Amino acid sequence: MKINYYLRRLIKENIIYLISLLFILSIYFIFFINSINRINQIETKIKITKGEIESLKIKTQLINYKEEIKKENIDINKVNQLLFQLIPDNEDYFSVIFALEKLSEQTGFIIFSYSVDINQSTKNRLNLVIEGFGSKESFFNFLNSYRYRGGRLLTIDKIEYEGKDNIKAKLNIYFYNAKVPLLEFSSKYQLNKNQKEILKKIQEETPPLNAIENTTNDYLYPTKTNPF
Amino acid sequence: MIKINLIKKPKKYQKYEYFFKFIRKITIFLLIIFLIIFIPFYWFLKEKNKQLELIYQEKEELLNFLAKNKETELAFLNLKGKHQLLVNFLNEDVNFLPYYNLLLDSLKHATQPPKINNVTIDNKRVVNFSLTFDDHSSFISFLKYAESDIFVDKFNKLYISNINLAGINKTTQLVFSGEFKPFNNYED
Repeated sequence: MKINYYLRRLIKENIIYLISLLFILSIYFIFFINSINRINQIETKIKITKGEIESLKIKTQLINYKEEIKKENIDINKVNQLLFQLIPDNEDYFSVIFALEKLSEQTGFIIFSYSVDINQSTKNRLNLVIEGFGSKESFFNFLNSYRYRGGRLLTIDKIEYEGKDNIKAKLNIYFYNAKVPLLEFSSKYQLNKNQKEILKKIQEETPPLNAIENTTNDYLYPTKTNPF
Repeated sequence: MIKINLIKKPKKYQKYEYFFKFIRKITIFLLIIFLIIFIPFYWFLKEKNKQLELIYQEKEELLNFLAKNKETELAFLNLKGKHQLLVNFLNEDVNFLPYYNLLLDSLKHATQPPKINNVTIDNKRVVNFSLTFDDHSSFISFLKYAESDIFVDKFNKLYISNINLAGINKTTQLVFSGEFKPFNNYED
């Protein structure tokens, strides 16, 4: 094989450039690929963390909001205590009886019979059929008060009433129990006008029973599952 | 010593020369470009890292703040949860009084208003009510009124399900069945 001395000399003279070129090209490749990856990683982290910060900020706004609604006479701790009393985590039959007695006592509408309808009751809803009598005024007092004034949330899904001055009525009523559903604040939490009105009404009308506040602010009402 | 005759194959050697010249130029060019790009690139990367650090710091501060006030967050979660349950449950309520007042109001406009004998309302706004009339003329005049818009407008549907004409007790009874139009539902 014929040796090309001229080419060899040229290579020898330019070897430093050849090596440098290879080195620079490798650096280009490694540096830019790595840097672009690194920037992408940082950008992703920034985006995720900014999202987390936004949701944290929403939560921090709640602290100011607590004071804000306090100025409108809504005490969140008190309201929560009453809400846990109105809708306890587990059914408490004593408070059901107590609520009916209290309503009867407060309104003058005499409840003379109540029976539990097992078929219409569910895990979170206790159905009772109550019958009562009283003056027209006492009956309408009852209808104005039944939701919160007994100390337990009570709804009526059917009313049959008869009479003119003295009313005899049969009511299909429900008491509720349910644990707080898992929620989170995805946007700024603010109570609207209707919600505020309901909460104020609860504060005004619900008589406090034996609500107990535990240290974690998770309000629990002492419950019994067997009335006997 | 080796002698090369460049005149012999000038084109071929020129080609090599050009190639290596190009290599030298491209190497220097790439080096300069690398330096030009590297500095702002490095600065950009550093800035991004700094930005990330600041964001992490902000997040940490917020987390510490929330840890100190976790009871408030929990209280609002409880409030939101129980309030949502309350609204759902209240929607099952018959909301008797407003509908009853609506019925009273609609009867008020009759020439000789009848008396309500009994009323049944359920939470789907389905209503049954019976009216009693003292005499036949008030009964007839009410029948005309019952077809008017003032009365019928309050209901999605309404029909007379029973008529008990005056008997021994001299009262006529009209039984209506129907459904109220919705109004003022609880809103979340």
